[in-house]
Amino acid sequence: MFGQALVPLVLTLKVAGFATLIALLTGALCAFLLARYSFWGSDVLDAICTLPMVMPPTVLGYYLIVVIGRRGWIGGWLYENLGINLMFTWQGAVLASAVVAFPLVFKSARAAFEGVDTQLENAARTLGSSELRVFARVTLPLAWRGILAGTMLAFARGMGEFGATLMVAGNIPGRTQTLSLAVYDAVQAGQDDLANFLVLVTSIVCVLILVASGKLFKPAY
Amino acid sequence: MKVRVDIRKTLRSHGREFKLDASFEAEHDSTVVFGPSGSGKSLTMQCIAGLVKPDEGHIQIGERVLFDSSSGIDLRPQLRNVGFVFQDYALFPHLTVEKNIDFGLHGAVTDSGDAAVRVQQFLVLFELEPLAHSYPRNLSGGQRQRVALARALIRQPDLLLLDEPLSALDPLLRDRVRRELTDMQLRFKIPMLVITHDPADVEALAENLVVFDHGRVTRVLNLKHSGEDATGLTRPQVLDRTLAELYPADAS
Repeated sequence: MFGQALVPLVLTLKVAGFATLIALLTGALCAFLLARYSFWGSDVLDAICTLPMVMPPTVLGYYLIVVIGRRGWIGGWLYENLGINLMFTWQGAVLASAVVAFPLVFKSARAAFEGVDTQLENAARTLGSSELRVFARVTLPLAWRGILAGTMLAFARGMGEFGATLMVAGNIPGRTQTLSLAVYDAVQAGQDDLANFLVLVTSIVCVLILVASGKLFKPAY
Repeated sequence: MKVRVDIRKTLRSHGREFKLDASFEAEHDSTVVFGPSGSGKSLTMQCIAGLVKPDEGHIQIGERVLFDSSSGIDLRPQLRNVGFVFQDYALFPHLTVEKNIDFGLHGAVTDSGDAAVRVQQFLVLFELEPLAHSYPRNLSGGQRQRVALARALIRQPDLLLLDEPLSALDPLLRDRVRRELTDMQLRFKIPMLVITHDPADVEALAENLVVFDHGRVTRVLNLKHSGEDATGLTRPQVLDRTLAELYPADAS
């Protein structure tokens, strides 16, 4: 039973880990741009960045198939020119999880960046700091807790991803079957012991993450 | 050092419009910018520091041109060498007093050598040595003000801007800090522009007095010698007259 649980657990951590990394980099970047600059269409961009939070995962999965499927806009090009196929691979699952987890990083990071007093950034500028140094020494140190809290939520969300992953990566034991998919299979097959164990593992990991991120959301200064 | 400001800027927000049209020259080292709130004092300061870009005009300190719309000069705030003490001091909450003061020395070439020695000197000078490792949230108002002042002065700016430096302090402390400010002025010989709407600050600090009202400079007075301006009135008389014109209701 441990062996049966270990494979999906490791795969889940791998998928959620890479997905969180992608969501962190892209989410924080979008959040910073939208928090600091207002431009034509920034409201629409904000809505699009938040969209994966409210859309059914299956719809997201469908969008992803349209984009990265073998005949998709990007997927077609990737397959014809580089021979890369993302459908039904763990990398495809990473992409699906990243899209679903993205708004959690984006929302928290945007609030965190907006919570940094622009007067402090201006003070750093009058003290001779370049824009890069202002970001590295003032903006980021004051915003990182909020960003990290959002990142942990994104990881927890990524671990529990089901719908979009199923659409894009399928449910192939040992290759794309993550914990949440394994639970579904175990219940369908009447393996209650395995299902209980998988559910327990998932719950413990998620509770730990939520407690830690809850601590980080409290302001430090 | 002479400071020349001649700028125009129109701000629009929520359908309201504010027009700044400020023009003055300050010859002496201590200039007080006086006027009711919302008269454009802070905006002018931000334009001088390079944090807000005027629509058009000219800003010059001594021979250095910081902004000139006709020749397309607009130095970034990083290159203006203008110190700014913000109204709420804007100390970095995640850095200790020592690191706050040290912040502006990184990457800047200082002629007096080692930055650490210089920070130490400033800690002693501003009586902040015992607080070197404290964070801003644990400081009193007066201490915060000294940190903000030290942080700005350690870079040896060509001009120091102070936006209502005393308004966040309780009245008992104001007198003392005002004296400290004049002491620092004498010691560092860095020209300063102080925003205030407290007449007591004008009394104590003004060699030049620039009066703002509704986005315009309505008066520039020279109060340096024997506290008299060209009309022969003493400094308190000039003040009273200015106040009476600014706040006619109070004067009756």
